[in-house]
Amino acid sequence: MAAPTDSDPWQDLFDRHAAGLILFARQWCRSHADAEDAVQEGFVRCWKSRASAEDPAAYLFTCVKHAAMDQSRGESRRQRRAEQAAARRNECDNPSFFEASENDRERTVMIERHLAALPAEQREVLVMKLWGGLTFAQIASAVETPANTVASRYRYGLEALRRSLPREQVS
Amino acid sequence: MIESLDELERELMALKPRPASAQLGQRIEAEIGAPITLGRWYAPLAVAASIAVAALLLTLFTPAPTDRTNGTSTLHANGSIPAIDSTVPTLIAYHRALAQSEADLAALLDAHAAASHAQPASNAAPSPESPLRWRDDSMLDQPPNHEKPT
Repeated sequence: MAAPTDSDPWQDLFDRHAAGLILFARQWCRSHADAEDAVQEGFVRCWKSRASAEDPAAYLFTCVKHAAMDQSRGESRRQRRAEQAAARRNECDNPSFFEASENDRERTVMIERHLAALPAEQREVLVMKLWGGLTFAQIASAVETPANTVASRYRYGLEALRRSLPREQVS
Repeated sequence: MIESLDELERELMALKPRPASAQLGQRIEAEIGAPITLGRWYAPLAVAASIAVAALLLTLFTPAPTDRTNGTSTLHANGSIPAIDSTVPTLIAYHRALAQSEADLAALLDAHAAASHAQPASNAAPSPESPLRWRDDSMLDQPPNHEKPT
């Protein structure tokens, strides 16, 4: 992945990773809108300090993770207004992490719920690998964990999903 | 087992995460565009503005220099203004340097500092009427005699 420079504007990085970053942030945020806020915060942080980043994509995911976690902590302290919580609760009950046609909706929602039930360290690796397009080396850099451990988490996460999802529907 | 994992991976990868809203891109653009420009120029501008204001205040509120020996103003007897010390940079010179580059400003500040250091040294020579003398003036008129008394 090419490093962003002045000739490679932020839009390229954003277009490549925006959807994956929002899905990634959803692990800590309770709604799509909150996840977008976290992505905005993390992206701006990343862009302003990108000169210090060895791998821009990995650094971007790290920044968004920190922003999402900060937002999550702040949220729990603030106890936002009841109507916002209600709206989010509705969205949490129907997460809609992914786009889905009417035919695929039931299966997609089931996958989302099983994905959400995974341990956080496995889920974040799966999200970065499958929908963020990061390599194990990049993920290792983003989560500051050895690449072998990251690969193990990915494998364990997939195995857990395979066990929990109805077998006949995995095809 | 590996095949089933691969199938699951394919199924998962086929899922498309919900896209970002158009507003997110606009919000990021607004935040990245303006503050970065401001951040790059804010500090030098603040320094330049501070120096300009300080120089202006110094010019406006510094009293006219007086002769320490008799307390009179340095205005000439006929009322004319004494010549401006050309070794000290003027406010206009600072403005021009600021408009050009930081390096020019730094060079001008160095020149000002050098001139400021040089000026007191020239003024430090005691006048004949001054009561303060570092040593006997008679010693200045004669070369030092290092010969041993016989």
